[in-house]
Amino acid sequence: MAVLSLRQVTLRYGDSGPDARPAVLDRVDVDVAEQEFVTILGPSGCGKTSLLRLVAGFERPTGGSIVFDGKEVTGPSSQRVVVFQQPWLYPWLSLRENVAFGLKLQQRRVDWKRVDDMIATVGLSGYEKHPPYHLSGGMQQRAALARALVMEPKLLLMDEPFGALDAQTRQRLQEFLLDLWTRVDVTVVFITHDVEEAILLGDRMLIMSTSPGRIALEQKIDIPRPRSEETTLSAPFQEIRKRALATLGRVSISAAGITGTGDDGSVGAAPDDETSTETSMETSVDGREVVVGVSSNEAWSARGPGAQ
Amino acid sequence: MTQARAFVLSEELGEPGRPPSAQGTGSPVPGGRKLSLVERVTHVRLTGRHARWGRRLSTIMVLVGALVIWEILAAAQVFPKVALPTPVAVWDSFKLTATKGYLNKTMGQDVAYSVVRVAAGFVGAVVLGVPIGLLMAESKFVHRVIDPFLQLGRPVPPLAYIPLFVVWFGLGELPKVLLILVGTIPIMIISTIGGVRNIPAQRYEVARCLGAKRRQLFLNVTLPSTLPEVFTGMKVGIGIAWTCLVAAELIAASVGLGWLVEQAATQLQTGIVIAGIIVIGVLGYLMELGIRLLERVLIPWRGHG
Repeated sequence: MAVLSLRQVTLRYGDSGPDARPAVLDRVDVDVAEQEFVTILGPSGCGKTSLLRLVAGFERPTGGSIVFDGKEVTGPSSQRVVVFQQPWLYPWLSLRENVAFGLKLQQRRVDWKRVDDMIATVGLSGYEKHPPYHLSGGMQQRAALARALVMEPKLLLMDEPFGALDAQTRQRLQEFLLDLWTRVDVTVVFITHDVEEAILLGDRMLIMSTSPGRIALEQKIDIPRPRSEETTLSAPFQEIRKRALATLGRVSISAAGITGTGDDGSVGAAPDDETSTETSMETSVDGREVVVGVSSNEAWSARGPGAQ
Repeated sequence: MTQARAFVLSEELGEPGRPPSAQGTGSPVPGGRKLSLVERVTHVRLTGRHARWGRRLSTIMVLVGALVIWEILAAAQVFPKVALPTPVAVWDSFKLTATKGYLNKTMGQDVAYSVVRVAAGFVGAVVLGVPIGLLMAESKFVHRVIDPFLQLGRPVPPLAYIPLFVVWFGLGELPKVLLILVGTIPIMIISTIGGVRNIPAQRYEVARCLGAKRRQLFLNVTLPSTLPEVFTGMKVGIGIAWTCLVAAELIAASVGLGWLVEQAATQLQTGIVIAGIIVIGVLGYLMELGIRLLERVLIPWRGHG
């Protein structure tokens, strides 16, 4: 049973006249089941963060409906808590007060045991009295996670929560989240631009395309749990990764608007055929992005303007 | 390619872009810190507590140097004696004013009156200015109503208000305090508005998705987030308050540092004028130090996140 349903959700800024900008989101349909971990993957500017902000209730869609737990979303709620890319802890509060922040807003008497248990769950016991700026980036992000989870939300919305961390910390936090998710009953929608992250964490992965933002690929990830960093080396993981990269390569080419134009050196267009097997790789020459894709039907490549 | 790499390397070596909080502001980073005057003169690198004293010593050396130059200029009579008395003569004027008094008022009385006037005007400006700034930032309507007065009033020198204030509020302490208040309040209002406007949207969004209502957002996010810029405004404002003092004490005053300087000037008592100016400078600096201290106690988190 879907706890969250997006139906024909459209988001557009400015006029809808003839010279309107393309919609940020264009008739997006998404269903998220209870206890599901859905990752949304896409190039920057594809509207994935906008999608999350709509679900959080920070913004209203231009069209379509978002139904959460049987009710239309009209504003933010502590049942749908967001974890941002930056921890955004309040520097004037201690770690403990930060984690208790949401509870304090709702109750006159805070259940401090619940707060301390959650701090223990994210492995920050002993740091309760410290201000957040005494903690490392990874610890701060775990504190932000604790602040969200202590509310016992039905839905946890994560907006590239590990995107600002260094590779090692990110890997540690991914494994931490994998483990945590088995212990906490919560539905997760997780935004990322990292293919490995999207596959490693999710039960299902949605890949979005740009301008307008649409769901380009929906991919079930039936790699058994518990998963760990080693899962990324397994054959099924690599299979899904290939498929995701192919889709991503296609959507980033159409995003750059260089499909099929010959003058700037790009050749051909990405095939729109889902059944063909495709591989693509992204590399960079002199700082310009070059996307090369190979499919069974035709070879295609595209380069940034001016690349030699 | 090699060159490009070398460039990157030298950049990395230059200034490590880590936040100063990580190590505490006091600790020197070898090569990443400017040398103090003492270090440059003596070629001795100082660390930790010694570095702080080194910096203080530098300040003292600069002040002593200025005194020496002043003494030389005065002794050589580059300017007439009445225009530039020697430091020793100023010190004598100060002692005389402090003990015997000038025009029946001792320096102590002048200081007491002026400090109370400045403090009252300044506190009034903070107590009124911060809520006005908060209201203007929160309500477009209030902003539209008050902003024209703020913009028109800001360039007007406090001196220009004197006749009006005398007519409205008489010759007592009230117009003097109000003049300081009126001169200081714009910076308090403007820095408060700036403080509210600069709050990152995510600070609000975090609270909103945790269930905060409008009033809770104001109390738990807006107020604490605005404090650092309020303190910046206060540090600038205390200086402005002192600059308004002389104007305020032109209003039928018979005591006060501004009055003292003004009276001594009309009688060409340059020594007393300079002594009064130095006392005003020192008092203003001490008050700013007080605000800094309060800031360190109230918002130790300033500059973090």
